[in-house]
Amino acid sequence: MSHIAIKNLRKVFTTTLRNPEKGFWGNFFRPEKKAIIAVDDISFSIEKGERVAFIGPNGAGKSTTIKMLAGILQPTSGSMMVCGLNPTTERRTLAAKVGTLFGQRSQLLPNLPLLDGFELFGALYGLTASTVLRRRKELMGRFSLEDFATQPVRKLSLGQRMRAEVAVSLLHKPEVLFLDEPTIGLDVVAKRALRETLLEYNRDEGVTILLTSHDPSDVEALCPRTIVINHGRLVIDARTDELRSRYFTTKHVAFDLPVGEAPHVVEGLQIVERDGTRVEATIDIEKYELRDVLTALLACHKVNDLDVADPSMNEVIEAIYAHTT
Amino acid sequence: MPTRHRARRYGKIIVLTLREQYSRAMFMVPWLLATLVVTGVTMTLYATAYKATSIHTVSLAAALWSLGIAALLRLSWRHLSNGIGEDVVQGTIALKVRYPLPYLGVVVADHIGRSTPCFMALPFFVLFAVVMGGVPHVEAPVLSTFLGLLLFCGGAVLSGMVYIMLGLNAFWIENAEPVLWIFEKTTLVLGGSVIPLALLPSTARNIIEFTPFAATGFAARAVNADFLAVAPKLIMVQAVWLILFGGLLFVIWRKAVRRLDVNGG
Repeated sequence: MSHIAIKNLRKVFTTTLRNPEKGFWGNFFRPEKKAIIAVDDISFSIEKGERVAFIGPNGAGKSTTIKMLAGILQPTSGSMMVCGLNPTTERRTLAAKVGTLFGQRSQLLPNLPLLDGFELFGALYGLTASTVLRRRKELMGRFSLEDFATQPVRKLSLGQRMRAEVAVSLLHKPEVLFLDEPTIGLDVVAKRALRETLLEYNRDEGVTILLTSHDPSDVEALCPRTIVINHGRLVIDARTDELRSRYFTTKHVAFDLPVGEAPHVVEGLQIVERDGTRVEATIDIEKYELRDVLTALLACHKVNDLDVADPSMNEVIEAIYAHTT
Repeated sequence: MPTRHRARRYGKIIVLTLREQYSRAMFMVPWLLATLVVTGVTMTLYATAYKATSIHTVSLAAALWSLGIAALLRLSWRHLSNGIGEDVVQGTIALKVRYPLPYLGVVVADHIGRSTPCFMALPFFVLFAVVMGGVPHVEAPVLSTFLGLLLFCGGAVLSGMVYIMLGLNAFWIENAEPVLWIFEKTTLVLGGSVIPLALLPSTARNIIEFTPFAATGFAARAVNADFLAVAPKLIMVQAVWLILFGGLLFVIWRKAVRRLDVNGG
């Protein structure tokens, strides 16, 4: 049985609109309402221990879906199961099996040290004092929290706080971890450290991870599978390394020519930009063999430097969003 | 889940938030001083204005003790309302409802932890009242104290319910501050914080005593000479409001949860 299973899930919000022509009392007594479809008939399933990126542009319905899976919001229609439980009717039982982290919101007490934050979560999740102590020791070691565990949370750097937030979310040993933009605002070093720790935790404990992030490098580094939604609808559910080939059939090529030399016409090489001696081009690998094009290029130029690269994950995601808008 | 286990969890939350309050002691001191000054000035005004030893059978001592108890009941409840309102407006309520413990239970435990330092004001109120008015004479002090504590707890729960409902109002009116203001000022006047209820003309008092505003502050009546005679009526009135507001809170909460929104797609 799948660890997370969603079938035809739909969430519609009703919002009131202010009509200037109706005046204050008209709007007060007879407000106009508009239905907003946040999640529109999506279905997917995730196996135990999988790491899945759940991405989409702003307002796509990612957080709404995660909040429905965590039992915070109730779906308008459709069904879902998380760890064999229905989040809508068994929210409290499910809460003990699920960990959530919303990167833009802190869940720790700002004026108390992190050690007290663990105690608070222990009380919220009904853990015994000995369990809290044992798990706290494990997590502090894994997330390298010892150096600042006695400082008030408000004095921690963003990177330290985010590591602490993830650690307290794991205190009750959840089977599923919902991460909503866990690396937001972090520098590259802090991002990498957090990703590595999450990968290690997933490997050791077999926790299922559902991640939303606007950072393509999070998706690439953490999740072998990616689900993309846009306007509330599921548009792609594929292996992350397949996303490039689905949307791009090109390779980027950049090379340096000797000073004063203009690039010759090479079949299959599409020049995109030229800046002094540096030339940037693309090769459509569906039509041309990469090796043939590069051999032809090297035959007619004394190339000083040559880089061949796939489109970045950023470009891939941009292309996916553009295609599905 | 066993009740004792759950109570211990709430107890832990209370202790932690109390600890957090003490870590911000510098912010609390001016606030506590301001409360003491306001109540102290009101008590001093009464002590100065009282020409006779009693007005309308209410002694100066009873009036001052009554003011102190009513002031103690009012302390800091608005923070509960404001906290819930902020959770609603900022969307953090959606995150807090995900814990295995009920949201309202957690915010009340959190609030109790935060407002416990208010009781530091108690010895000062007692000192003011004793120095300026002495100790009021009450019949059957043990029974009066017990019934007074019962009404105090009932009043605190009733106030808590009202303030939670006012906070949850933010689901519908975005900013519950004006409604909160109206409730607070009405309770200030009709709940005995400015004028002890026993001082009001009997007709007005008989009407006001049936309102929820007065029902929150019935404990202050425990220092009046006629307390034992009116206590059954006060307990009944308070009990009715507790049941009514408990039901209303249940309905409002159920409706509010359906309006949980998402900040950020």
